[in-house]
Amino acid sequence: MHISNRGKLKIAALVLNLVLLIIGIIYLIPFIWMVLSSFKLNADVLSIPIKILPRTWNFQSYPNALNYAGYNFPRYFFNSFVVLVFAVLLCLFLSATAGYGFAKYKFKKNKLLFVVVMSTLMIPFEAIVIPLFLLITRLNLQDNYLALIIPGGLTAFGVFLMRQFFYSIPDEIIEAARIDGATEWQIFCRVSMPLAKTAVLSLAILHGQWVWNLLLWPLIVMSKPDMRTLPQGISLFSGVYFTPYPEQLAISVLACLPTLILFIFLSRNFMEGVALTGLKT
Amino acid sequence: MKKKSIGIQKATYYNRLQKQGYIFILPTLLLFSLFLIYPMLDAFRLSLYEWNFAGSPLYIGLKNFIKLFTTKRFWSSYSVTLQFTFLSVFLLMFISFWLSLAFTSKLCWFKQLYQSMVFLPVILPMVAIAVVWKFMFQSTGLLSVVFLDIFGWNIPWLTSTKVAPYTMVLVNVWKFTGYYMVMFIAGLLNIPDVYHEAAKIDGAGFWRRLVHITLPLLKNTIILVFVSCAIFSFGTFALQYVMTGGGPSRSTEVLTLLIYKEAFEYTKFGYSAAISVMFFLTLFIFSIIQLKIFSSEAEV
Amino acid sequence: MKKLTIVFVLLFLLISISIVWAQEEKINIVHYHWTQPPYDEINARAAKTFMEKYPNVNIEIIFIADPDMPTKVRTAALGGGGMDTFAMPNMQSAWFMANGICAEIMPSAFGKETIEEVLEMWQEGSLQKTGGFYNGKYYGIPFEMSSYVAWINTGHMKEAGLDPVANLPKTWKEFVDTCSKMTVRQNDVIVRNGFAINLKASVFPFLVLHSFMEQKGLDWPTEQGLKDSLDTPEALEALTTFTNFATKDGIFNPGLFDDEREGFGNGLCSSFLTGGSWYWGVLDSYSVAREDVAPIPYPRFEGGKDIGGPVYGYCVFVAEQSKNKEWAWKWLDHLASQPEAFIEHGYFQPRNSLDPALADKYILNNDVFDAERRNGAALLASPKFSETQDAVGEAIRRVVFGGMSNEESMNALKEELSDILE
Repeated sequence: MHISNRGKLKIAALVLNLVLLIIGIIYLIPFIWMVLSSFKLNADVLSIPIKILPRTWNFQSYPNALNYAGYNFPRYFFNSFVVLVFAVLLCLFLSATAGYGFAKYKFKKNKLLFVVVMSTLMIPFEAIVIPLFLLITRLNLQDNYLALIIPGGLTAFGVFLMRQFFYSIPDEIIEAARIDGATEWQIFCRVSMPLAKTAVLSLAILHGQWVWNLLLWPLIVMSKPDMRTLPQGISLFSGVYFTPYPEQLAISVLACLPTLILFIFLSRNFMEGVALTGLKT
Repeated sequence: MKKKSIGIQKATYYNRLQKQGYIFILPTLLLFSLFLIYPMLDAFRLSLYEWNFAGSPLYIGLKNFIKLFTTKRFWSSYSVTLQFTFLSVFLLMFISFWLSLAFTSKLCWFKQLYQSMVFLPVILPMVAIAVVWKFMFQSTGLLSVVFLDIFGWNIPWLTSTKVAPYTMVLVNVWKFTGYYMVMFIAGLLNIPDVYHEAAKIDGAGFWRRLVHITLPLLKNTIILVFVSCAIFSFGTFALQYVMTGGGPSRSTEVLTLLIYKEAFEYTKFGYSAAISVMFFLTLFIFSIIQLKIFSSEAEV
Repeated sequence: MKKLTIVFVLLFLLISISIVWAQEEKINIVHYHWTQPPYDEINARAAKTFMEKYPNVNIEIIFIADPDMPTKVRTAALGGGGMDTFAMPNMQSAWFMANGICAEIMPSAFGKETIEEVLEMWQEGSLQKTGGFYNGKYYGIPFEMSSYVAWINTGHMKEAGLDPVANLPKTWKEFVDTCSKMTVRQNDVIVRNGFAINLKASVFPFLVLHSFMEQKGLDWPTEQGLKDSLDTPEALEALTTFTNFATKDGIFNPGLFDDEREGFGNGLCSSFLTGGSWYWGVLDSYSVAREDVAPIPYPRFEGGKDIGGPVYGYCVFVAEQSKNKEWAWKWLDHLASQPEAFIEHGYFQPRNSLDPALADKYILNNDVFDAERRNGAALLASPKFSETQDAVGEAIRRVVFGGMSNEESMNALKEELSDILE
């Protein structure tokens, strides 16, 4: 029996998709385990033998988690959210302006300054934590949102990404606007930026997930319980004597939700956006 | 009033215009200098002192570095970090590359779905991830039991100094495959289909197209992925901090973790700064080497 | 352009709000304490009653996870974070006292004239044992004094065919024997530990090993004594006995769970060595019942000294940077005067106002705890404690996880400690 080329292709496609599906599921397993376990009773989470599905569904873990031991989790969510929004906005502003400046203007030392900015990628955050902390205390910003927002909005990667993107905007459009008498800033806002929507979106997502996950820096600079961020809060669950696993998992699931929802809705735009930043040859 | 020739007028207008660029990059330069570059320089300065956070720093010159070079713990941490970086970069690049090929192939039916499934770990908070994986690795956890029942292997995921480093790489790869996959996909999408069509008409098979069309056109992306993956993996912190705290027996104690411990647990801030300097220098040398090798190709 | 202006305005508002936030007019006292249900409520109540008594004072308690305490307090003290008072365990307090973070005890705030009169408010020697004394001066008042005893699950003993009274181990050899009988395996994997301890947090194995060393007659409470002891065969024997629990005796699988207080409470291990009388209160939130559990004195070495588990404690201190020291001490006095409330959960505070009968009433087997508390030795008080404790923990971990020999590990420890304690 001779299988036609078409047939071969179909079989190949079938096999490929099966493999890919399995791979996808493997990537999802820890997440699924996390969600299922958050509904178990504490004793069942680590019980032997392993129970995949909860023996008894423990819906209490979620409400319990939100106010466990007086930890004000809704407040931590709020803190993380505030920091996220402003840090991302700051990042977008800095990356867009700097990226545009480096890409579209040929001033002296353009390349040199760009290298200087890129070199900050090599600075390990842990290395500058202490000097940065001292700086923050000197500015009297500890336990203040700004202490998280400002460092959180600085990323050379964003500058790189936006510069790449702005390279791809034809100079003619900008020239035309100049001839029409627009100032540089107006050109930036009205001509270049609207074209950058998808790039901006991708940067927002890529950088946003980093900000959302900040652990060490908030640990050091925020001591007031009210100002804690979400990752800090989650790590608090590991009590010295008693770890309420379902509650800790429940909070972890809740912590994933915002980014997850955003991602599901924006994923198409996101992938395209990264593509459009022109990682060209 | 002197009349400048049109040529010179154009020139000054041009210069003034280009100088506007400075204004655009100013906010970034200012904030980066204050909050990133200045602290790093301060860390350099601090590495020459001995300071326990109380009282005044004591100048000791290069003593911290001498100590560093002669301490086993530092070199062990350095090699742990290098090992982690090499393995992660290799595996991440390899897996994300093939996945990106698969997900952009015409044979793939549910592109969006697969991509999202693989990308999911990227957006999950590290703390949550560490909690779940720790569970699964405990000797009565999901993974241990599965491997025991199916293969009869009793794998000491987090309790053996030999296995733990690989366990860390495993979780790291799981978390970040999606991130680099997306970059590769972006690069692949930018290769016009026409090239592949033309090659197919000429009778080129999958492998030939891969080697002669895809890879060359993907060069910039590959370099970008390689460099960012290397830098990022070298600076891994949250994963080790939350999952093992550097254990068992310092087998997963990466440089950033050592920097943290020396400063915040042992209050040896000067020594910790010296380690940071070594960290920075390593990446610096790496960047220079990488630039030299790829400078002809990359459009940096 | 509009969007940007909105962003800037928002940022400006944010800054202004956070500045206004911090406005207070009363005397503010900020207190750092470790979080431990059910004791958090008792402390919170103390703040409330104090504020009712003195309406011009505002007390704010900041609860922090125990392992984070030293770092957070250090950061708050030196970053000018507005900290007036704090709690600290005796292992860590030496650093703070040595570095001028703590203010000396102010007798006037207690209504006394001399420091000796203040000392009389607490059990003799308790300030030394709980870490409130350094280099001739007194800085902290005791908040907890505990000693570790050995806890055994008598239910498991009965299962293994042992007599829950007659077969209680008195020597470490007997301890290992009893534990091996209680260890349960499935397919060659230990699913119930005979014994367990958290090897990740160095402080726990350090404390237990400390007792072993003391029992062998070595002088661990001083830096010099510690260094000198490492050359002796007794030290090697002590280390080997401990590491054998995991490597040779087959009674301890570290991969089963991290936290032994939890594991014991859930019936996943049959004994542990890191619990004080306060553990009764903690046990109540787990599945194992009080009737199935017996605290016993630490086993001894045959031919070794008659010393029990490590005695440790917490003190509360006033920070040197505090602007209201007298009020701060008044607050601490008040905070530390609820020993009756704590004793109900088995948590012991060495205040002389505490009726000894209460201790007997609320702490089951108090005779055991009392005796061990008196027999235990004080711990090393050194500003280099963190590093020392980590080095010792590492010496143990090298053998258990890295498969190194005890001799090699001891040599490595010698090297590290001579560096740290130079």
